Amino acid sequence: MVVVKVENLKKNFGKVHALKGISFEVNQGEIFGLIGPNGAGKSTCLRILSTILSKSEGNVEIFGYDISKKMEIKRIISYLPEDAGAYKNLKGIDYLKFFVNFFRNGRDIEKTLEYGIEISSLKDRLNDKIDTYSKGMMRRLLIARSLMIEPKLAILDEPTSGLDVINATRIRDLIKQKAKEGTTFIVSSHNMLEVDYLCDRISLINEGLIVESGSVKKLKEKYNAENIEKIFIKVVGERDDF
Amino acid sequence: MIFNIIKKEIKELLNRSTIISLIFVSFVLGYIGRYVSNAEKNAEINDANIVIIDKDSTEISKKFSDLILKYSKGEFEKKNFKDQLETLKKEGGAIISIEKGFQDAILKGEKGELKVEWILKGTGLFDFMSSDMIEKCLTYSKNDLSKYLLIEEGIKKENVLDPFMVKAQDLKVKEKTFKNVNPKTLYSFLGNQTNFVPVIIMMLLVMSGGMIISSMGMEKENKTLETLLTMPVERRDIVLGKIIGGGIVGMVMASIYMTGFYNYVKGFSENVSYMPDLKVFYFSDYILIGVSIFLSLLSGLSMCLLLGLFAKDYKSAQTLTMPVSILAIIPMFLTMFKDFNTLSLPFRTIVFLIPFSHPMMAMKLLFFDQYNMVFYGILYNFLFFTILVIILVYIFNTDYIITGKGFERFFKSKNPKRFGVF
Repeated sequence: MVVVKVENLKKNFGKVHALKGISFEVNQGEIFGLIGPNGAGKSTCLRILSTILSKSEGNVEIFGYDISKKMEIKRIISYLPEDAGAYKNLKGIDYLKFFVNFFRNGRDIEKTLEYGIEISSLKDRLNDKIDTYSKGMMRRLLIARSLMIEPKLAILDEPTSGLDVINATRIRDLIKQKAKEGTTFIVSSHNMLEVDYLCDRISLINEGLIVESGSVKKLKEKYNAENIEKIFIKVVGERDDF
Repeated sequence: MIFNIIKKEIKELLNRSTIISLIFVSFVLGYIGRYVSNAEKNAEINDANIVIIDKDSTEISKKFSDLILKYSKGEFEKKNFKDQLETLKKEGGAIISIEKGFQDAILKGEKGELKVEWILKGTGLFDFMSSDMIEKCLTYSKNDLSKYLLIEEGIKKENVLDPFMVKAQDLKVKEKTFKNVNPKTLYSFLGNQTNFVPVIIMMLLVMSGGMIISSMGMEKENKTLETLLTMPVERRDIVLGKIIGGGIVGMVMASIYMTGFYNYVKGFSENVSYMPDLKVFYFSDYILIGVSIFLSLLSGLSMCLLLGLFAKDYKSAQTLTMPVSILAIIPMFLTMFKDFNTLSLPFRTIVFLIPFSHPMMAMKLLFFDQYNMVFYGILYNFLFFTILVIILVYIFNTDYIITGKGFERFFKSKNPKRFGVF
């Protein structure tokens, strides 16, 4: 079932055309990868999907809601920006509580919070101020914040950036498990191994346009490439007009 | 939802180190006030260190010497001359020399001569206190000597030196008449009653305004705003939550600071004994003042949040309280030196348009029963705050909040309905 539908999406910042008309669809329980070089328009697209930026043209539907129905969409999505931070003067546990309160009431708050604590695996460190966290600890906290509310759609920009191999693997496995349980993911990453491991389907975006889409397996066959990195270089590198 | 944001703002902004540093400043201010108060009391009680060298040794010079030494410290008088000089070097004071021919000059109807050698231990405010006392001693002694000389001349009516008194005086200002009050008394009464309001406004603005601007700076620096904007909460609530949360924290901090400031000011003013009871402000007057301060604070905080939107990070946010502080300083000085009604029309307009003017003027306006102006001020501040919140919510609903761009559509689009729509 298609749960995210993007048609001819355009975004202009004055004279700069960040998105020039992109279209893609994401199915329920799918991990969809949006990959491309820096400045290609990935983050702009993800920000539009997460309702914090407006679209210039085109249609976007998330779980049947038009993107203009922001409040309805915000209740079912979770967005993790690429270089997001946290409120440094708060304790980790207070940070999670703050965000749980937007989504849950009564007893559900405790339950959700316990799940967040489990995902973060920060244990007693959650009682320390975020200011004292390492980059990896901060990212684990942010991932916990994103996934503890069990969103229908999780939009993750560079989900494992700053994490060591063990923690990155844990997070990737968690994403895979949640996808099996029905959560839909849109993931953006510069780590092609991660994309290869995680994503069912990908779209390559370059200079505001989607230049290739498909399942990872089929694209490997099409471009006779052993990994996504090679596909990426072949697609983006071959097209001078992009 | 708005309470969740307010709670977060308070938790984030009101941290332990901020409170400790504020309490420390408050304590230091209170201590300074008490120190000043004690110093002033000591200066009054102990009088001054005065050494008299009588080179004339006549009846009048001895009399004058006795009159001056009434104001000298008892302990100091008991010391020998050498020790007195040592004490003068340490504590300050004066050596007054009654010159030869002092009595002869006075009896001839000329002026007797004195030579005064002032000794200061330093150049601070307290170091000059003893010399002030000695100057007063000389004036009092001069009066006493005049009385003595008049009696010696057979004139027993001392009132020749002070022949009249003002029995009754009325003061008319702004169609009000005050009985037995002179302008100076009214000025000091109004000053005592009204000066604290501008200080409160400044404190609240600097504290709360700084908090809100810093909060926006931190949101941008820590990149938390993007996450917050994806939460299922109206952006209007984010704006109000930030203003109210910052306001509460600012009020707590300002209260701590004001306690210290109150003790500091009390230290300077508690030795002033006379204050006429010109008007008793009613409870309703204080309510009006409170409402005026509160609405002016909300207006100020909205301005700060608006400025905070331009902050790139926490550091750049720190400088942005300056324009708001300057806006508060303008009416503070204008209303201090001139009455609102006597200002020229352009200045009156400027003062009225600045939201902080109204609570600063409110106390004086209430004193003269100009309730209408107080109500206009409250209404103006309410409108000012409402309009700013609408502007803020509008900006929060545009891309500008994330990208620093987004108003280009405002100038290009022909369809106004599309403004701010994602």
